[in-house]
Amino acid sequence: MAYGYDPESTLNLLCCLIVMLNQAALDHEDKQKYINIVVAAGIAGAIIFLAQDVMEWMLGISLESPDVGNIPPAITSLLGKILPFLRFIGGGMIVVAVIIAVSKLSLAARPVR
Amino acid sequence: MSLLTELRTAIPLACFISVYFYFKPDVPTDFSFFFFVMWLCFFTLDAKITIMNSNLMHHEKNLVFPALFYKFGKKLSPVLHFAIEIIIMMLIVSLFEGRLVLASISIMALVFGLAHLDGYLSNLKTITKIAKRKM
Repeated sequence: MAYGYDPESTLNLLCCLIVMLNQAALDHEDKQKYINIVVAAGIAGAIIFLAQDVMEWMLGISLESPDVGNIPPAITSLLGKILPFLRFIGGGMIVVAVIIAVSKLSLAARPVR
Repeated sequence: MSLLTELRTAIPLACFISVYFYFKPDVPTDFSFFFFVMWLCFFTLDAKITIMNSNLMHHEKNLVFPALFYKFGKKLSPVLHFAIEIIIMMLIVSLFEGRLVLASISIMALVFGLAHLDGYLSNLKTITKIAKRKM
């Protein structure tokens, strides 16, 4: 039995360390990705939710009133139908982000940070 | 990725909320009361299991509760979280309706209650899994 440097055990140790570091990096990355996705869903939901108000503010018109200046009525009636519907989709996205990030208290099987 | 598991329960609940606000059906007052009680029960269950296993707090996927827990401790953090949930429910209802309606807040309470029930059940599963892994 030789004492001193054992290349096999050193290699094993190195492999373990690499696996541990990879695992830690992946966990940290997952956590960051998780936060990014939730925040992005919330912001996207808010933008979709406010689409009608922003468009009305930018165009300086009200899509609900019959007098909309020189914009063709076909376009305004189409926007008037689509934009209020988008409000519910945007609201849904906000609710998803809120449920995941704030409401539900659930544990992950693998450490997430 | 755990986010997919989260989405699997959060998307149907959000769709339910959107559909409710789109059609706005009448909700009897008795049902509203029942929804609030349900939310309170499931919130208590979820908070209890989370605090009882506070050694696993670093596994928590919620972004707000761990911060509250480390700052305010195990007694005050659930109360603050509960208050935050009430404010969020009111905000969502006022976003959709432009005013506060008790029936709509009760529907939000139902959805949040179901989310907490799901959180409680998944916590039970996860704690068993972690305990088995340690054995």
